[in-house]
Amino acid sequence: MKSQAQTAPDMSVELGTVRLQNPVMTASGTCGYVFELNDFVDLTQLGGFITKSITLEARPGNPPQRTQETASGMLNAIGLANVGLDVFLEEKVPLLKRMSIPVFVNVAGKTIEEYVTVSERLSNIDTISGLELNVSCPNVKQGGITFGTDPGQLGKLVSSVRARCPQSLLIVKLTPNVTDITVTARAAIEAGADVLSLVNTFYGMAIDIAKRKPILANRTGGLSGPAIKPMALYMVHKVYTEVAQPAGIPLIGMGGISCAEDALQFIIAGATSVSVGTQALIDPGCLPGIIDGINRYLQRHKFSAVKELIGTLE
Amino acid sequence: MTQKNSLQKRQKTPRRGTMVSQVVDNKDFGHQHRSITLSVTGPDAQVLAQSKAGQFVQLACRDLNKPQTSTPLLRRPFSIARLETSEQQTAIEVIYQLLGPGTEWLSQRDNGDQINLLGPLGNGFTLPKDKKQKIILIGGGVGLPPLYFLASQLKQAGFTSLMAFAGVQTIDRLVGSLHRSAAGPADPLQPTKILDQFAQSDTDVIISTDDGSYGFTGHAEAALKAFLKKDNTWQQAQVYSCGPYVMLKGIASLASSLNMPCQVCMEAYMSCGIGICQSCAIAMQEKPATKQTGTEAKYKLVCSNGPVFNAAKIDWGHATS
Repeated sequence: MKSQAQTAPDMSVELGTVRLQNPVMTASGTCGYVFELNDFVDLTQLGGFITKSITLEARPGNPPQRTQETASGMLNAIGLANVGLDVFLEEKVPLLKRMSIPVFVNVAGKTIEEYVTVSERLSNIDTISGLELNVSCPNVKQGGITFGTDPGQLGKLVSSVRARCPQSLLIVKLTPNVTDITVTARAAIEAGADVLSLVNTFYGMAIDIAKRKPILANRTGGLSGPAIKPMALYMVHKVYTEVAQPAGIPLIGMGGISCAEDALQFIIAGATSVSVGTQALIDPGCLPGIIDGINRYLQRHKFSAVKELIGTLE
Repeated sequence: MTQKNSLQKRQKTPRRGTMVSQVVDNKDFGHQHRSITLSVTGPDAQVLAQSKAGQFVQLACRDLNKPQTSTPLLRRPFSIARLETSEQQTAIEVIYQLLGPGTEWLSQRDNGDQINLLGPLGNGFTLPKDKKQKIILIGGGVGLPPLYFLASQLKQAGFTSLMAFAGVQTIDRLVGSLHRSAAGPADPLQPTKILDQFAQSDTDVIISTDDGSYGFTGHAEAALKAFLKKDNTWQQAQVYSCGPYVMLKGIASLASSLNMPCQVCMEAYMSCGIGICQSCAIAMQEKPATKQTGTEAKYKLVCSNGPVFNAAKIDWGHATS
């Protein structure tokens, strides 16, 4: 019998100064604030946890209907419904202390000042390993995507947060709703982003033909799920080769990842880690399965570490 | 390590979970309505056995192990119509209407096929403390199944004064098994035991049809109103209701005018079913904003705060789209 004692591949990756035990994370907005998925999955097996978006004030979110299934996809227009910074700090952060894996808090706002205030207050908390700036929410009237589509505004926002949070790991989450995503990627990096995550959802809509009305009360929404995977993968690869790799900036790849094979495609395209969103809503148990699948692939293809696979597209 | 241990301890008796169920029955009720019975064994059986009336399950209407078949993408929520527990296994019955690709897929499952199930989810109906309390169950269409389950749960808990109102457009659309004479009852407000699912729990039922094809002619809430006028001792009853939005709105208003406590089981467009995605928002009566809750109190989530709500708390003008 051949030696089965082949050492298990090293699954760890680094996002700047933060080490993840494996590259698989949750995606903001699809896994709650803290342990909400605990009945279905042991989150401490993951590489990292990204919370849903936190804004300065509590937000009720958009009126229903807020989501709609489409062919292999899901439209959402939740509108950043969240408890607000104060309640998050009081009620959720103490629970995050039990998370034992790196936690990244997603931050959103209407103005640069709001992003800075929220980021600064979160930056002093030991249990939070980094901040993900959501400059790509397509479902709120002010802020969000308006920062993510204008490289000048984006640079100003990121450098303002950078100035007040010099020690924090800053992740900037990019929108795909631009002509050339490398332009905003470059602007974010030049302004001080440590990591980029991409992509957020694509603008989309669905129409009720009987009523001749949009199905979502917000009229438009953001499309996620397997339907966007090829486009997201393309953007990750483009940003990796043209911007991130030359600058030495790691990427968190996301957009329709549903299984280990999808995650592997993103890693090969250049992502250091991956986030699973829509599929985690459908089947939270898929997360450990994806980690296992990556591990088995590495063994099968004789990689001793997942890091060796990043950006190996020929 | 202590962190991990406490986590594992909590996961030993989860109140809900993801499980692979087996189809043990899948039958046609006619007129696009069907019933499917799903069974689980082992530790999953203990989790599912905790199901309460009003709770629901999320069924994956595709093979989740084949990610390349990603349609229909999302799970579909179904309320539980019946719970059957034994030492080894737990089975639930779900009564559903064929509405699209998800239910179409369900209808094609054979005995022995596997269906991935998430549950039991949400909060069920709260039972009164006083076992002598009179109970009114009122539902319409595919809103009836959770009331079948509730009736059996109430019976098991020792409640004896149960009265059900079942409303449908036309008698052929009644979900459940019916034993009746073609002519219908002489007095449409005379309760009978002709609907099997209620008869099993010894619950009297008054059937109403919009088109007068059986029983009381008109909506279920009209039948209830007429009944309460005829016998006002029932005006002290606890009301439980499930059905179309307009019906629930009418019942909530009737209950409120008579000061009757009323719990309603709501339906909403759902994605995750577990309180994460925030899809199934329902507007509640405005409360003065507090520093704690801000404006968040405006919406609750049908999947995790409900689906059963106190009818008086819902903003019936703006509850759903």
